[in-house]
Amino acid sequence: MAGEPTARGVISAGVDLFAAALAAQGVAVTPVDWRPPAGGDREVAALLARLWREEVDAANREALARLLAARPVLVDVRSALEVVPGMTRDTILHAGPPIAWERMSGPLRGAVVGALLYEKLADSPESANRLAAAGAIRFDACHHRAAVGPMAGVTSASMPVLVVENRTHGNRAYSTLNEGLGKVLRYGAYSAEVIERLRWMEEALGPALGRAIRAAGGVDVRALIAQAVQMGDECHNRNRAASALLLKALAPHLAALDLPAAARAQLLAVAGSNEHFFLNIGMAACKAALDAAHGIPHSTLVTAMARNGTDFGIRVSALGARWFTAPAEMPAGLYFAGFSAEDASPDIGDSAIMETAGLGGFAMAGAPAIVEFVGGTPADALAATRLMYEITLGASDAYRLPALDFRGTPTGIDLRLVVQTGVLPQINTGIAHRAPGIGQIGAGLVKPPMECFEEALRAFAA
Amino acid sequence: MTDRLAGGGALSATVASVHARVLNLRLENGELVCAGAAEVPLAANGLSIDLPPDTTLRMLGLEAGQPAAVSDTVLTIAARLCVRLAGAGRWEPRPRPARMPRSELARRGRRARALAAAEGTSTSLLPLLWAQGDAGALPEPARSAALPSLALWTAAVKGDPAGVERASARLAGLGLGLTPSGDDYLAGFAAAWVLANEALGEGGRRRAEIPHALAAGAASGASALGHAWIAHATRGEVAEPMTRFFGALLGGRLGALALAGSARGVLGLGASSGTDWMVGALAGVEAALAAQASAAAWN
Amino acid sequence: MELITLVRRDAYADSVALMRLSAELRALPGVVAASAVMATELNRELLGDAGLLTSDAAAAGAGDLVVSVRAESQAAARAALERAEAMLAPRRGGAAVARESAPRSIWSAARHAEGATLALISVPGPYAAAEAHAALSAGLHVFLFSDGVPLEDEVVLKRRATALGLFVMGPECGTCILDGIGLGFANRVRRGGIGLVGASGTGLQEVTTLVHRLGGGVSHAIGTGGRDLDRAVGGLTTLQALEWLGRDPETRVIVVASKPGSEVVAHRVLDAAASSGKPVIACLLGGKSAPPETVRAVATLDEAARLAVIALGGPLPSFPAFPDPVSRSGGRVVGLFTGGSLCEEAEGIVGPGHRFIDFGSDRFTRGRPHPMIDPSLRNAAVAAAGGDASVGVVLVDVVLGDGAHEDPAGTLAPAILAARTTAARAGRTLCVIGHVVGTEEDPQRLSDQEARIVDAGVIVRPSNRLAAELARAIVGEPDGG
Repeated sequence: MAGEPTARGVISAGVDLFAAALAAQGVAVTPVDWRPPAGGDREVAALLARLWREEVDAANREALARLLAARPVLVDVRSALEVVPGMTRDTILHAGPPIAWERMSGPLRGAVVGALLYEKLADSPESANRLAAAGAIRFDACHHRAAVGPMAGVTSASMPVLVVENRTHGNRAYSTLNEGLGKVLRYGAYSAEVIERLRWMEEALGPALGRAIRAAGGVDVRALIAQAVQMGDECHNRNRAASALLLKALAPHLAALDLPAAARAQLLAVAGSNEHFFLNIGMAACKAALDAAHGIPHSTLVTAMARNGTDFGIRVSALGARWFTAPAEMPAGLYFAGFSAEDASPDIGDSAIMETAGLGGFAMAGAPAIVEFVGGTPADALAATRLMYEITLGASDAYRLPALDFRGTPTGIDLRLVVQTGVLPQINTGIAHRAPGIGQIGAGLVKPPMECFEEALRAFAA
Repeated sequence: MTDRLAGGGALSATVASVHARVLNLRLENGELVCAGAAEVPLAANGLSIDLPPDTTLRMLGLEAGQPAAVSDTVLTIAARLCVRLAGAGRWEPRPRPARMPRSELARRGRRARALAAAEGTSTSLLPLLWAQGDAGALPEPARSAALPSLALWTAAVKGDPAGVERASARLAGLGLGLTPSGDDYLAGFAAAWVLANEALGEGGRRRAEIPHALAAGAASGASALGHAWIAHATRGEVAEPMTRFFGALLGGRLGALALAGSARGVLGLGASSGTDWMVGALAGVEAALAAQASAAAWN
Repeated sequence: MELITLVRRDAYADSVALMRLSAELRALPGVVAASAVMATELNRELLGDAGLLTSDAAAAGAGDLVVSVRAESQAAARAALERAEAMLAPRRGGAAVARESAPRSIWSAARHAEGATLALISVPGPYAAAEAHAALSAGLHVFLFSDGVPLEDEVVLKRRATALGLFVMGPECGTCILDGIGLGFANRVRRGGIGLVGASGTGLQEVTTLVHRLGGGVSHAIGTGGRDLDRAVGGLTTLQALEWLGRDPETRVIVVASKPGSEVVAHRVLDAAASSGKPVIACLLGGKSAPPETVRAVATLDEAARLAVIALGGPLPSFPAFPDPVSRSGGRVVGLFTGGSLCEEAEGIVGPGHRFIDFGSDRFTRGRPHPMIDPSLRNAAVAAAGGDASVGVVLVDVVLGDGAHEDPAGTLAPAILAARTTAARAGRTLCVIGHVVGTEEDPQRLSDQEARIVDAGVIVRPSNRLAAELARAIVGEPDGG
């Protein structure tokens, strides 16, 4: 039986004239700023028409519910070999969709070389290069192993990894520890200093953190992020508050560790001085939440966005293990003194998982300082977040933005909405130098290539 | 442009208009020169001058009607502003397209058009990208521009300069703004026609007649700035953000990676200028492709 | 005294927000004490000290939100907790989050526009189905003005809509009146007991305005789009509308005005109408088969209006009688119309051998606005008819209402004068007959518009049929069957 058709409130897409005639009759009309999908591609429009149906809508409700219900808790730090699924001594995981050595970009290659030196699989950069080129190393995407890594994201067997458990669904996700700023592995540096630091992290930082976390009974990452986004963080480019809150939670347990005073002081100093310390934890938390929403038949929820410095790739809940890739774009932003757009590497890193889960660029309204990176104003930050509501299935329960009247951040990117509106997810990102080992040269904004989403849409039709 | 000035010795000029950070000079030979501060996108006929951040040109006492003089070394205006040109960096407003097969140009054109449709400003000529026969449903200025833009496209493809001139006359001056929407559209169309044909390896007298007919048609209706930019466009000269766009659209494989970013750089210009220019440019690219296809059919 | 607690697991709220909530709860009638806090150890102690600690609250953890209320009665306590739930609920957007730019899709617009019930879609045809489907997913009825929507898309849309209990009115639906609100091209008509379902926009406009002019009123007029009675579509929207009009207490008489499409479907539809138990009048132009007994079949739109008003009860309405035309001229009739159904009906009445042009058809609307918005093409044809020696009568329609031109008669009048002048100079009499579709309540005002064309020498008739019959009589066609 049909519900009563009424025109009490009308949404109008198309000719202005009729909207005006309704307004003249005192009806509340909301006009839509309508553009045809894919610049007017009728095939795409026909595909979209087929994807608006009960089966898909129901699957999306399920997927969004799982995403929002996730409760990520930081439970441990362990070596990658111990906990990362299928990890072996000759495996090197990297950020972004799968990619062969020949196509890897400068920073990623540098990081691979650094990892091979660190694992003592090679004794010089030249022999590391030869080893990799010879096919002697198993490369795989972090994402395939329930892991994520910022920038190059290179993860190898001996590295300590954070363990985050999604208490609601029981699944876990992993990420390496953040090395800090400057010349670090994730930007492709592989000097002796870098290797030494990695060893210190393996021998001192990792185990100590692990013990402190276990002693604390775990750290509720969701609650921590909820506070941080109300303190000026968006948890991708700005992690200052979250890192401080994390340290606050762990400090008593770090202080209680049975260690020489100097070692303890060094731990606290390193953890405390790294403003992006929280990033890797936040990434693993978002990965754990999104993995629980992946694999739902008929769902058009985007469950991963990731880059490897060459390609940008996305995954969609119903489309299983498939990646949909296109050449990664150049971020637009501000550069540190002495650097410019010519020096930039194409977009790189798994950190777009933050946006996929409703943080980062999607929470920019809470971190207005970020837009200074692109010469924008706080009003631009608000506008950027608001625009993301156009492409998401819902809003976060936990992460609320005071600047938007405590509305939840836009969460749950719907593939259909991205292609239908043409609005692309807004990602806040650091910018790496294209040559390995130089490091971060700026920060800014970047969007995925629309081709990824159009290709994923076509996969639904097949 | 300074090279052209070098040849002719000093020229006198008059200030045509003054804005906060940009002024226009009318040279005695009729050409318009645009002098703007560093943050103003560099126009094809432009000079970028080191104006201090908190200074406006009006604060310097500059007004329309004042006399000026330009040579290849210095620009002076009314004894109040002296800009040293000698040793200034040169900038090339004319992109050099790479040769490419039509399928590749068509593919890139489609990508640019999809991005423009999604991200262009809506109160502009943007609806022309997708409105086929439904002109009645369009808001202004797109509604008035619908039939003339179709006529322009058809005439260019057929190689009909008189038709191009007529259609151009209907578009010139259409719409509001410092540069009316129609002027921006024409400038985009002309530049894209010239450069896309070059990329496709299509030279020839008939191709070259089209931009001149377009400029002739716009002569009486276009605004002063519009007129200048259309003139530059017929030579394939464009403003800086547009050179980056053409560099991506008509460049080598690496250049194409910058297509999205450079297109965004154009779409954001002015209130709707960038979008209007882009809609015209995409029409010019498609016209060049269609002209090549129909010529092939006749041969 | 009642003490109850609300515990929200793993919910974080800012301490300032919680203090505001606590203060608001304390101010409610009957509330003695209230506190909203994150259940940290310290806060649980504070709750205990305040006598607000229940076992639920005691069991809560630092990541949980607790709202505890002590009130004079159960009712007051429950009311306070309800208020707390409302204040903690996710906000939809609200006045404080004023949208600075318009929504980019019907879906997102529906999420933020409180109380939206219907989507009005007039985007180009190839893209309309995707928009209509998104609207259905958002729980909205659809008024689909767009044409050029493939038939297969229409079938899928209407099947889905029927399953969801939502209406898809269209494609190519020009007119609807829902609860007194006009959608698309519609006229301001009195509310009353006549419910209409129709495939044609101008057909619905003619019947509804005539109902009004005959003293009756309209409950709803539902457009179904031109193909609804086709075999493939199966009359889905018509059946839905009839079922609903049958249930609607406002509606006492039902009018079905359509082209018959498939005979099988027409039959099914008329059976459904009959089963409503309300009087049904059917005007299926060109229909062949006999309708069910309880359905009155009529051949013209104005007759449908007249019988509907009669069925409502009250004084018997009729159109004024007109004297026979004084002179008969020879020549042909040329009908120059802006409304498709009006053109079709008139052509059927005048008969073959004359020229009828619908300026709203595809041929004329490529790249141009619809003639009801911009009648210049039709008016030019009127002026030109004066120079055609074979033409004895020009027959025109003038359509008023929301969405139509602000003064259609005003733009037509000069063209009529020009035509008559041209004919007069050539020594011919040109007769112009017209019908104005509209009411006094329309923005253009019926009496004003009729006066304007009468001044230009038009013979005005109050219905399309009467105008067409007059035209036929003047050119000397024998009365048809």
